[in-house]
Order: sequence, then C-alpha cells, then structure tokens
Amino acid sequence: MNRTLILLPLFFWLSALGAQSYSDSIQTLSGAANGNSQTEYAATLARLEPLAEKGVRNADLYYDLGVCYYHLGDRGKAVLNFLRTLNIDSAHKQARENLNYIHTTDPDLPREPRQPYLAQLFLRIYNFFSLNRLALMVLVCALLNTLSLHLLFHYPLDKERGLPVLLVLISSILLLGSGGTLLVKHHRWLHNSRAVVLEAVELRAAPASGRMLKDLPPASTVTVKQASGQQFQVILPDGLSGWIDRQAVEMVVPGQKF
Amino acid sequence: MVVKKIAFLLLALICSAQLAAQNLKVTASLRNSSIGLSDQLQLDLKISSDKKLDLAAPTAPKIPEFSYRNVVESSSTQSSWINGVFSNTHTKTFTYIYLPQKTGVFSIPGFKLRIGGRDYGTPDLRVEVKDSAAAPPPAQQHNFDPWYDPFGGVYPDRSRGQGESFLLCLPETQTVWLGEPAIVSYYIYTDQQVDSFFTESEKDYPGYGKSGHEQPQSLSYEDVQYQNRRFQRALIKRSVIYPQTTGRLQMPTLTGRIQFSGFYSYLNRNAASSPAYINVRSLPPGRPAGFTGAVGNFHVSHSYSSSKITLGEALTCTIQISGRGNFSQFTSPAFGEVENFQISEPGVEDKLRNPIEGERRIIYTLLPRATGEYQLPGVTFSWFDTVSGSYKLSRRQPFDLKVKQGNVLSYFSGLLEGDSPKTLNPLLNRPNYPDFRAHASQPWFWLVLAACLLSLAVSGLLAHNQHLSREDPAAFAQKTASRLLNRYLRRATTAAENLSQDFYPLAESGLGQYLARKYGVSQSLGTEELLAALRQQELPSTLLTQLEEFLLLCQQARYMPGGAEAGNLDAALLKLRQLVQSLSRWRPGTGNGKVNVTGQAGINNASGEER
Repeated sequence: MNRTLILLPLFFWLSALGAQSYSDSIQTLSGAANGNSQTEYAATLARLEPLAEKGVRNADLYYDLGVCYYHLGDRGKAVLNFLRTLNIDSAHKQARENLNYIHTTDPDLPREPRQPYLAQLFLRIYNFFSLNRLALMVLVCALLNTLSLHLLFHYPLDKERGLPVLLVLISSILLLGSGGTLLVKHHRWLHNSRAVVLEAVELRAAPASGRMLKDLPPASTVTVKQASGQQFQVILPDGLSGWIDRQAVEMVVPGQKF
Repeated sequence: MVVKKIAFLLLALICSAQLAAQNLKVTASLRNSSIGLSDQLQLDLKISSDKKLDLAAPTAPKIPEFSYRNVVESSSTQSSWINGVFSNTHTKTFTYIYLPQKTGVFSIPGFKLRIGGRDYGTPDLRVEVKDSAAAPPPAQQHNFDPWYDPFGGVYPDRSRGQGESFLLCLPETQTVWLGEPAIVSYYIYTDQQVDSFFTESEKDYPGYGKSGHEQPQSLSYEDVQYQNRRFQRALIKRSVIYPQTTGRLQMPTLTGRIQFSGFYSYLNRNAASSPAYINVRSLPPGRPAGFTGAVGNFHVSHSYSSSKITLGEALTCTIQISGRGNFSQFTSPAFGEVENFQISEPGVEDKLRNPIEGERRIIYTLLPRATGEYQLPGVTFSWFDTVSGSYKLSRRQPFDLKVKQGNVLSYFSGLLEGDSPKTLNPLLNRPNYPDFRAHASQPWFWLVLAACLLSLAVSGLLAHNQHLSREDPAAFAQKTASRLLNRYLRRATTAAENLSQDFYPLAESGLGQYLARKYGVSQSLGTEELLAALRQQELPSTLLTQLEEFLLLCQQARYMPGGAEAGNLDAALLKLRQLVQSLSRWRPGTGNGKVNVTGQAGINNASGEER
C-alpha cells in the first residue's frame, strides 16, 4: 500500500513532465533568417500579422513580429512585441537581447535604473522561471512535499524524526514560494500594466493640459497606473510620473482594458 | 391664503431658476485663423452659464502638425438687471496654446464636452499656417466696449475728427551691451476715439535676434504726456531684442491699421511705428575662459547633492542661475574631466517668468568609477554683468567627496551584465505558431495536485491507525471491532437492537464468515472442528474458550427450548463484541500478552456510546 502511495505521485509527475509545453522544445534556428531584405520582412509581417490579429498568443510569433517591425523601422511596435514575448515567456533569451539592443542603440529611450547585484540575481532567477516552467516547478515541489510528508507519516516511531521534518519544511517553503510566484506571474500575464509608446507624445503633469514634463519618443516603455478619460497616468522607468494621451500607447497584453 | 401665495411664488421662482440653469453655452474660436510658422496658435474655448462653473480644462484637441504647449484658464462674471430680473453670467475661458510645425491648412477638431449630464460640442475650425515672413498680422486689438471713450471726459469739447493717433516704438534703454536683452515696446498714442488696431506687419533690420515678450489682447489706455500734450496710450506689443552686432541698431518697425468706430470710421488709416534705435556697446576685453555668452544681471550658486556616496550611486552638481539676462542665448559650461568619474552632459531646467527673467538650473551627474577620497574642482560659470560692466566668475570651492564601497555585494556589480548586444537576433521562422496555454490553466495540472492531496489523506489515515494500534491498542481494538461488527455482523447487530431472535443465527453466520476470511477456516465446520482448526492457528486458549462459549450460547438459544430470551440479547451482543475485539487484537506470534479478553470497562463504555 505504501509503495503504491509513493508510486502514484511519481507517475503523475512523469506525466506532467511529458506534457511540457512546446516552448521547451524550441530550437533556435540561428542565422536562418540572416540577410533578410526589407521585402522579406514585409512579407513575413504580412504572414504573421493576421495570426496575431486572430488572437493567437505565441511567444515566438510576437518575437518574429518584433524583428520584422524593427527592420521595417517601427521601433515602437518592435519593443511592444518583444515585451509581449517576454510576457508569455520571460525566459525568451532572444527577445530580451533584442530589447537590450534597441535600448542600447537608442539613448533617448528612458532606461531602467541599474539594479544592485542581488536584485539582478533575483530578476534573473525570476525571469528564468517562465510561466510554464514555474507551473512544473510547483508540481515538482508539491510532489516532493507529498513524498516528504509520506516519509514523515510512516517514519519509525523509535527513530529520530529530524530528517523527515527538515525535508517537509524545505519542500513546504519551496512549494509556497513557487506557488506564490506562479500566482503573481499568472496575474501579470493576464493583467500586465506595462505599455509602449507608439508615437511621440508629451508627458504632462496633469491630465490633458498640465505642464509638459518630457517628450516621450516612440518605443518608450511606461507603466500605466490609472486612466482618466482619454489620458493615462504613467510611470517611467526612472520613476517620473505624468499623464499622456492613451491613443499614443498600446498595452503589452493585447486587448487589455484599463 | 397669503402663505399659500408665497409658497406658490417661491415654487415658481425655484422652477424658473431650474429652467434657467439649463442655459449653458459652449463656443470655440481661434484668435487668428492664419498664423506664421513662428507664431503661436491660440484656441479659445468659452463656456458661459448662469451658474458658477467648476470645470477642469477639457482635453486639448489633437491638431495634426501642431505641438501642444499649454492651457491658460480665466474666468469672469457679469451681473445684469433686466426687466426687474437679476442675472449672473459666469464665463470660463480656456486658451489652448499650440506651436505649428509645418505650413499649410489644418483642421482643428471641435471640443466634445459633457457638463451636467448633457453633451456639448463645438464645430471644427480651420487654421492656415504660413511662412513667418509672409505671416499676416497676429492680432487685432480693440476695446471690448464699442462705446468706450478712452479719454473719460478729459477732452469733452474736442471734436474726435481733430485728434491725432500714431504709433511709437520705445526701447526700454538706449544703450545696451552686446548680447544684453533689450525690451522694446510699441504703443498707440491717441487723443481720438480709436476702436481697434490691426497689426499688419513687422519689418526687421539686421543686427539682432528677437522674441516676443508681451502681447495684450485688448487696448488698455493710460494717460501720458508726450511733447507737452496729453495723450492716451495703449500697449500694442512688447518684444525682446538680442543685439548681435555692435553699433547703432534700428528697432523693428511695426505697421498696422488704426480703426475708428461709428461715424469716425472715415478716419481709418495705416500707421507705422516711429523709427527707434539702440546703441550696442561691445563687451570689454578680458573674456574669462569658459565664457559661454551669458550677459545679464545674475545671482549664481552651486551645490552638490552629497559629500559621501557609495560606489554605484550618482552625485549631482547643480548651478543655479537667477536674475535677468539672455537665458536663451548662452549654453551650459563644461564640467571638465575628473579622474575616476563619468560626467554626464548637463541637464537644464528653466523656471522663467518671461524670456529674460527667472531661474535656470544646470545639473551635472557624476558617477564614480572607484572608491576613494576625491577633491572635485567644481564647475565655473562666468558671465558679463551688465550693471557693473565687467565679467564675473562664480566658482565653487574644491569639494571634498568620499566614495565608499557600498557593501560586499557591490564587488559583484556588473558580473551579471553581459556585453551589449552588437546586433539584433534574427527571425525564428517557426513552421507554425500554436496558441500559448499556461500549464496552470490545464486540468492535468490540478489533477496532479489533487492526487497529491488525496494520497496525503490516505497516507495520513493509515499512519494514524498505525500510530493508534501501537500507542493505544485498546482504543484501536474497539475501533477495529466496531468496524468488523459493521462489516460482518451488521445484520446480527440490527437484530439484537430490534430484540429479534434472529440475532443468534445471524451472529453465528457472520462470525463464521469473519473467521473464514481472517483464518482461512471453512464456514461449514462444526463447533468442535472449528475450534480444532483455530487451535492449529495457535490462537490463545482464552480466546478459544470465549469463542466456544459464544457459539454454545448461540446453539442453546437456537435449539434449546426457552434458551432464547429477549433479555439476554444485550448480553449476547456484548459477548460478541468482546469476542470480535479479542480476535482483531490478536496477531500470530504476539502471544497472549496483548489479548485483553476481559477489557470490560472500555468495551462497556464503547458499546454504551455506540448504542
């Protein structure tokens, strides 16, 4: 009976591993599209755009759209699509590199402040665990937690129980941590408050007609705090807050209402 | 009766007031429908109501090829007494200011407002933007009241046809330094009843740059003496002149049309401002190093954000320049190289009341590259002081700065930052793009979690029983016995509870099934054979005796006359419980030690509770 109890979660775990998403099996075809001309990018864009408009949410689709838009001169939409890629798959290395490349080559764009080492490390780990990786991590932690609890339940009474208790504690902390992170990430996937400026817009101190604070170039990334009529209150990466015309920006989550 | 009349009148008054409250008028207009490329577009939105308005400025309409700059709000109240009815008209005017980016004809979308639950709209407007040189006059200035008499009865006997009206250009000062901003004012002087003035053009002369300073929207007269005559004068325009060459410079000539009202309109005529000059002196020699062209009367101060910072933090150095001068004409001084520091391009923040007065902050950001104690030289700002006629220099004393190591982790700063990417990653070009589905939204994900929870529940139950059998065998035996009774002897127990004599055969049959399942003995054996078979299983003799007694009791009750009395059923059921309990607690190899055949108290209690 006890053996069955141990084997049952193991079976579920293996089946979960087998059900990993397509994204884990992605192989980068580096250089496959090197040397594409403008016409080819335009043709690729014409092929991919209808898919995105139909509502297909795919990290690689958004990535390819971003590359096409960049080469066709629309940096705003390029940044928007790279951010959409990362919103689905935060571990998408190529999209992150392309985003860095755009920010490096355009000094006018507001940049994220440099993070201290520990924050960078945390963000790397956080980004490595994409939504689906995190879900698998939760399952693994749940199985570990179950096994360690089984061990604790059936541990001989005459023996010291320190080891199973420690295992239960560690696996419980891991389960709570990964579960909480999964909740946060899942919520952000559906309700991401980031937006990208698609056309040059003025940042103002008050809605519509306040004092002008800054000119925001296309491809600037902002975080939307609230909406008032046709205006968004946004926060720039450097912490500057103001109001902009909502027509000039597009949310990272397609079709998200604010 | 009188009270009713008053109440009725009050009601009527309130109703009429409510009806009147609907009177709200929204209009939009352009100050000029044709402007120059260097002019401002001023769009007025006027909202009038007989109730006090508490409105925020509506969203500025987006005009193609125009850059929105600001909105100015003003309000006015007009009271009137007409036919015995007193009324107030509150007007709120929002003036939206735009700067044109291109020449051409552009459409200005109308305003769409919702005030007090009702929608209001204004029609679209059109504006023409021309090159600055060919731009039409920017403004028509006139009296708001067509019957306004600028003389206010000063010249009651003078015929309006006999007066004089002319334009004067009045520089604020006759001599300025090269680069020093000079204000030039254009006034209309008159002793006639001038209705309005149209500015038609402004002729410029070489040697200066200029910008607008003040442009009143209406003619506001004041009494003055000019050439021993009393005149009324009104400001037409005020400009700032930035001299770029030395010598005698002629000021711009303003031309326009003076218009008279009513009967005197035949006096309408064109007028040009009188020639006016300023003398521009060259700056004296001895220009200090780092002079960037600032001329004026300034007060300068320097400040650093901190004297102790940690590596990775930024230090800011701010030069604050306040006073009057050519703010738009000078640039920020360079900070200079400082070893182990990365110094940014200076940022400029202006808080100017007008183009030549106010405050400017020049901000430098310094990033240390290494820890240590440094002496920063401080940036030098030099300017030509127009009051003393000499160059002035403001230099901060060397500033001591300590850069500390933030913490041990700061050694790792940059460790995770890879090299900047050199090129964009290429397309992935997947053959297909399936829709993304989060694992957490899939049923299998939750099934796995549910299975974990279920296995934990089962395992926990087993562990609990195991624990109970070791720690409290009596309680466990009771629990087991109850279960066994439920399983094998449910019908017998029910019969006993119903005082039915069927109890005995049912108990015998159930017990036989239980023993057959637990010890593998046949159900068809007689009592002696059964006991012999169980004896071979090494069951303790006390247990066998107990079993024999119960089976004998059953046989007596079934076959002996008067053996089955209803009063004995309780005792028989109790015996059955004890028997099953003893049987369930006995395990091969444990001997008799753990078999508590006479555990009466606990069992009685338990049976009592169950009953």
